[in-house]
Amino acid sequence: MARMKFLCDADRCIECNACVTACKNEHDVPWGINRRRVVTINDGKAGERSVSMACMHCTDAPCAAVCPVNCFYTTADAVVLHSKNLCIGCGYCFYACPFGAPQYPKVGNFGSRGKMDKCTYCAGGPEADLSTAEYERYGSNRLAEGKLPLCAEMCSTKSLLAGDGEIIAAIYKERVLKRGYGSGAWGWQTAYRETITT
Amino acid sequence: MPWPCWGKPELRHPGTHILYNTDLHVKEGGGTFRARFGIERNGETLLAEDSYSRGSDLTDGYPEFTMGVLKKLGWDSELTAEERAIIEKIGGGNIDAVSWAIDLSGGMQRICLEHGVMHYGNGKARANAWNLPDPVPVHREPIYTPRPELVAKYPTRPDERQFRLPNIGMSVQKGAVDRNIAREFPIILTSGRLVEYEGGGEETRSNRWLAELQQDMFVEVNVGDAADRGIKDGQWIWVYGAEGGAKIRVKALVTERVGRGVAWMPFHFSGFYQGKDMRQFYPEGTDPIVLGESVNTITTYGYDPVTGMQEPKATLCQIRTS
Amino acid sequence: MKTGPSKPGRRSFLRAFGVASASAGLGAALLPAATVEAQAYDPGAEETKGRYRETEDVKAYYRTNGYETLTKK
Repeated sequence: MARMKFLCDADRCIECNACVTACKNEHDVPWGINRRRVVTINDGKAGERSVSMACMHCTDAPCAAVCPVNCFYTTADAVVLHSKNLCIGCGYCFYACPFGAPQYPKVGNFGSRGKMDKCTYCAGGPEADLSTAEYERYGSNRLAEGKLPLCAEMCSTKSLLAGDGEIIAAIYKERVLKRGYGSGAWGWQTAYRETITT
Repeated sequence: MPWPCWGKPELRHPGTHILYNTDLHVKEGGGTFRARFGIERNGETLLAEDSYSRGSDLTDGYPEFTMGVLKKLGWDSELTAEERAIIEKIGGGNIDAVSWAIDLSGGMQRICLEHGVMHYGNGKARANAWNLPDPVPVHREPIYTPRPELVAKYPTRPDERQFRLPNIGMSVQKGAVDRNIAREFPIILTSGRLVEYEGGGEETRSNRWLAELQQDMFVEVNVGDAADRGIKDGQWIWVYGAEGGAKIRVKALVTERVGRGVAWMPFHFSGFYQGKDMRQFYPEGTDPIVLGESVNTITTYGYDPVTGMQEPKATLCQIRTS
Repeated sequence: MKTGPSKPGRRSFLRAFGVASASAGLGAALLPAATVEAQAYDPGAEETKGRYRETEDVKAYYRTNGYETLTKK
């Protein structure tokens, strides 16, 4: 079975935020909630890099490990989803997640946390596929429609890759080999430190 | 391949090369350099010589296509009756003068593509724009320059009447030098685009997805300039323009992206004027979600001699915390 | 969310517990002898089934993202 992955080619990302915008429009995500965001490191300096981040749909997801109500489940496509019927908005998953994926709407008079919202890999939730109930809670279910996540499908520089991990890894590997620089020499500086420039 | 695609949609033209690409057939996105500057100058042809795109029926330079050119080549017989009727209607008494650009039938483009030629001609590129005030670009100091000592050697163009309007750039430049504006306003100010924005930003800032991405007008200030002025990242500061005591209140983005002595602002904001929120003056329901100061509140005099385009890219400013 | 008798999960346990404690009142019923241990939420096969398919849309995505590098087939 194909395992769904996201991969952001940081040598191509131009921080246009189109993935963020497309995601919010596709799923009607409210102001202040970001299922996806673009992170820029070394902003304004030489070697500035941007990378588009969302839920990475971990194999052994830390969010699921800490959830006190066990609202997470992994689909056969290796997509990590959760049930908003069960979620109690405790925020444990926010602390567990290394990518800052879980988001919480502010509800009530004191801005207390509502039920968690995160990237669904455009795969909806536990409700019946493509139902109104599913759309209202989790947004659209493009995977069930035979499509890939919208953020990746419309990436203007083809930086954000999504789909079968094997295939997108092959695409990225070929790019890297052809480029031969930057992330093309991924991990080299870890191995060789300053003795090598990439 | 870049825009534009020629002919009617059913031709499925893939798009146009940049400048020229003679290695491809015009139907595959190849083509010639546009014959845009006339046929001949100083006795020399301005059309291409020994250069044409792959598969071209014409194997030398050729001018832009008109009905007259089409007739001369005998290709006008390939027009359909409907296409010819449209061209005749447009041409009125002088059908030969109808160019491809006003041929609404698309017939001339279609026939040219069939013959492997570009309807806009096959000409030479030029480095000398003889019909512009500076045929070859020369250096001219900005009207508000941080280097006043260079103005004597590299002045802006003399004052003159352009179309209906006076352009007194040189007087303004001289005035700025005489009053030593650069000492009071030592920071170069330039403006530019944020990638997700369009124009003045009214539409972009009215879109709830896009408005959320950048919620405050800001100025990029160099780390050194910020340290001199005690400015912290994210702090509200004032930027003063070099003309008429104009000032705007914006957030500071302290960054090394701009060099020492340079500040940059996006041109996509409006709705605040010199520190005042003008939201109440928008007609009901038309106010964008986020408002901010407009950078052009503090940009200064200067107009392009040919197009009349204003000078929003090179001026001076001063930045202070209050 | 599909709940019902076909899926005896953690919630139906809680529901049963709630009914029991309401009828029995406070006291002994808080620690019933025959407590069933709480089960992790077990989504049904329908919820976790694979939805990804290599449709024309998906194939076109892979093709266009590999334009520069992947050998054309």
